Amino acid sequence: MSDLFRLNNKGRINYDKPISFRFDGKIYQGYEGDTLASALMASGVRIVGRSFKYHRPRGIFSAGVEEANALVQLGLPPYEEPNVQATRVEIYQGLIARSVNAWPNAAHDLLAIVGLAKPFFVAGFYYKVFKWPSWKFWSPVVRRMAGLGTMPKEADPDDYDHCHAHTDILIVGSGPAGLAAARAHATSGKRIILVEQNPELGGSLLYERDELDGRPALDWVADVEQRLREMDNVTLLTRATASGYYDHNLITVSERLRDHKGPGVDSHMPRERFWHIRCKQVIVATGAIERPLVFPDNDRPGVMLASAVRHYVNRYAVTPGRKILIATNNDDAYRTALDLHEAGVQVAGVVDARSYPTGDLVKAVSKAGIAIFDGHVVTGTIGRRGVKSATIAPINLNDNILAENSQTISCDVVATSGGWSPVVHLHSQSGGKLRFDEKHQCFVPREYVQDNICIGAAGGTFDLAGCLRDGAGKVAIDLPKTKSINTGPLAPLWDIPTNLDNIRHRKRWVDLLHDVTASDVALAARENYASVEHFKRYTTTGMAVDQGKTSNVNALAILGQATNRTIPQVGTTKFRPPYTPITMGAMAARSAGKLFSPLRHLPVHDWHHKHGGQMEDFGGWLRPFCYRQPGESEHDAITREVLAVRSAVGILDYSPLGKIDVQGRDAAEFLNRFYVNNVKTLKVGRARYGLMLTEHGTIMDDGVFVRLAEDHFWLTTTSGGAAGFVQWLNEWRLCEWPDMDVVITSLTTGWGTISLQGPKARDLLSRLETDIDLSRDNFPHMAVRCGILEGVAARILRTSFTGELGFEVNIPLSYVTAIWQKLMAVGEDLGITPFGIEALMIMRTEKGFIHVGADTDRSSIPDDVGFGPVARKKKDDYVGKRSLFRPDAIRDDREAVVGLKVIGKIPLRIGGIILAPGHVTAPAPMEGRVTSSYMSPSLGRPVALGVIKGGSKRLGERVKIYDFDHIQEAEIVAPCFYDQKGERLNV
Amino acid sequence: MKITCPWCGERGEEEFIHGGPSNVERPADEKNSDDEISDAQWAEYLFMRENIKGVSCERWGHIHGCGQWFNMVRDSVSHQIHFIYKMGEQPPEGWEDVNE
Repeated sequence: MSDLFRLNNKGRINYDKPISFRFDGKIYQGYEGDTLASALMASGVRIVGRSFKYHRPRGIFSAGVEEANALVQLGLPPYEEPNVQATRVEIYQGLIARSVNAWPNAAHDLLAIVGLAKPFFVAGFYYKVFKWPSWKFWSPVVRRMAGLGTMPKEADPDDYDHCHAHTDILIVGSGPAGLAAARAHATSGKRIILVEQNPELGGSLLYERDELDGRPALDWVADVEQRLREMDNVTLLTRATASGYYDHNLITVSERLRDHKGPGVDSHMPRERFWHIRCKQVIVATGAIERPLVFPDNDRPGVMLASAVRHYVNRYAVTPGRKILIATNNDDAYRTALDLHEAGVQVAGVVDARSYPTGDLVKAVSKAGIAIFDGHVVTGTIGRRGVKSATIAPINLNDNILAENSQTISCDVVATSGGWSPVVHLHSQSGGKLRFDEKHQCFVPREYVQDNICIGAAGGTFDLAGCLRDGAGKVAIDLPKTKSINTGPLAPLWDIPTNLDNIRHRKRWVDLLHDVTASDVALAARENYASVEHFKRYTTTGMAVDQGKTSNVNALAILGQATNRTIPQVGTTKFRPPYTPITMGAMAARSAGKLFSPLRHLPVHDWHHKHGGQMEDFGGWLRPFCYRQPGESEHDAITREVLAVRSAVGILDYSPLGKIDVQGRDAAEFLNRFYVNNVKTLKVGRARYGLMLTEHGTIMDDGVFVRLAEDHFWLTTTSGGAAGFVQWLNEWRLCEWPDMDVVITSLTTGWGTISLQGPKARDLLSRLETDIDLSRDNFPHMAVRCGILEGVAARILRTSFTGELGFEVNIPLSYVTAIWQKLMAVGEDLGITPFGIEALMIMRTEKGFIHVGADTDRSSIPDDVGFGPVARKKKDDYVGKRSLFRPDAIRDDREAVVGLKVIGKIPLRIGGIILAPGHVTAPAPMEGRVTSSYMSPSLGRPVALGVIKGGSKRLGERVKIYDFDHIQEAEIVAPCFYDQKGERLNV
Repeated sequence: MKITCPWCGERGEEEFIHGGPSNVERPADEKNSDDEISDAQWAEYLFMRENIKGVSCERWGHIHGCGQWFNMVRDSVSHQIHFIYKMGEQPPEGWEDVNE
């Protein structure tokens, strides 16, 4: 059963290694060297899938990357992959695949009833049919019935890698042209990478019965391969597809390392390597892809590309049928007749649209006694589940007229060839231009923009000797001898004549994958989708897995006919990467899961974790939200932490705080150009809170800056803004003021910060050994002291974001854990309490301290946070200053930060909308919004900050705040709820 | 793109950031007082940029490398890089006509 259609020749199949696999629930057998498609064909499976829209039965159409019909769902979860072309899958023991878009399976698809509704599914049907009641109503129905494979639901367990390389010459494709090029350049000593999408080298030679130097061409391939493998400067990559061509000769290549072994095998290796290869020169030898002819019912199982038929016969030793009819407009398809004849498969005849073809291959076919129906075309196929016969009729190409006297020929396969299209995808992606070659009726490369060249069939050279010559280029090497074959010209034939009613009204498929017919093309043209890019999107021609590799040129030509334009006038749609589908995994590589956006750990991370720290992502840092003790809720923990800071002392791992060291003779002058405050007047040993602006006058960041020496400053920023601010300072230093003597060093991750906050903070800190005088008089609020703490260099800032007495202890990172543990030990009797971000946010809201990014946004200026007078009064120029005098900055209805005293006991919701006066509910004009809001444990009532038009001019006013049908009332107050006089800071 | 940093040599574009046109002059400096710069002048500096199709002078930063900034004459259509020169230097003479 399994070898039903297997031939006697050997092909490239290893009969010693049988492989069993499962398709649509049934077990089949193939051999090593088979693809899923060839193994199914050998077992006589004709229907391998159902079409996208109409659920028409479909069979294997091609033998390569152009496959439009044989799409499968490959593997089982978690290794499942949808819409895999069966022609590209090398079979492995235990392979499991099922057909897509069919239920229960491809052979018996109950959804085929959709086909009866064909008139509704014309081009643009989505826009036309499903308008009533709405697309929302219809989409679940349509999505279920139409479409392709199903999305895997489990995470991909495989690993992928990115790989970067530089090379002198990259050769894409290892057919005769590519191999000749590799041989020619290899001896030059240049670094060469040759990539081949197949598992074996050889390209078309793998399936053509060509001879070189009187021996089978594959002997030559083996010789060249051996020589190349022996050379250190040559890298051969097989199962590797050049998927994209980018600027400056950057090529991406997806190399599949173990798909052919089966899922989970050798999983210590990455599944794919995604190469980024930067090349001095690129040689594109990607070959060509055959086009089918368009005729009624040309989608039945059994209708195939002529080259694919001989591909199966010669390479896989399998025939798609018992009696094969060939339909062509060119000489090349005659090879298929000869190869079938040689393999002992009956050829029903060659139907050639041309009258009196005369090429050498034609003569050979005639000599072999095969019937040639010249001046004829196939006008249809018959057979519900696959071709059983075909009708042919005489054609008058000059007048584009079909005669009525048709005849029926019994056959089970129609092998069709409408000419070849060079694979110009990479060339086009490189920016290169195309021209239309009238002789071969195809687009070929015209103008190169980057350092690349297309050779062989990719460059429009179709004969073997020419391909080899192209490959050698200007390098003098001995090329193998080929037999010369005279070929006659091709006759353009894009769609068969429609002068007869019974032809005109039948479906003639142009794009098999997306079920687009010649009449859809004509309809799009009638509806004026004449631009090729509009046309593509309206009809969906050339979309999805195969990207129209066999359909695009036919579609353009038919569109041209319908709009009275030539093919070059119609033009092509843009070729976009990737050439063939690549996995998302390959593109993401290691940037997945935990490494997608790596989180930074605090120096005392393990301690926090062990002591109940609820770690969360805050701007890329994993920080404790709060510390939960056994039996405690989050709310309880936060309340306890706030009260401990207010009454005793809290300890906070503040290490993510941005820390920037700025030194140099011009340091003060330089920094003065960034802060709204005066930097130059700051005394050594003192600190100031400041705002930094963008040139638009908007707040970029805030933080405390301190002067350690006349020429030495230490800046702090928000943890999220640190990296950006360093970059910002450096850009100005290097680009605008390169003569200033300034050195900027980021110490954010070099030094850690422990913040001690609370009335007992000084008691606690003085229990450590230090040479710093911590007394109130000698170390006032907003001062800095450098010295030694427990034997470690320390920079201690007296500052506070909580409203309590506070010390920020900065020490080199490696000592942070030791100092932290020491503080915890010596502070126990003082009630030292570690506190998290939530407690910090509550306390700063109680104090009305803004949090940049929460209470401000990218349009906030100093005026909006109460810093307008300071910023405008400063005499010296600084970044953003001039913008504060623009009309928009001085209008008096700007949204500015205020306090919101809530009426009632329920905290406001952050994001709540402040309604315009006189409105009691939404919709209403918006006057502002709530930006920070908490239940204050210190005060026992809700506190909130918000922004409102007019800001502090509206103190005392009562406003209504709306959030999701929830209305609350608040009074506008000054933004400070706790210790308004700041007495607790000066203790 | 491959970009030749004047300090580090040829590197992949992922290491760099584009910093906009290199010939924008900041109208304000410490010597000017605010009232000398009109709103229109300032708006011109802040908001108006030529959207060059073709040869343009740009500022690039090797921020994932040495951290230095430099200037580049680049064709915004073909991405061809014609010249790279250090901060403070002028583009080579005739840079505008490099495509002709």
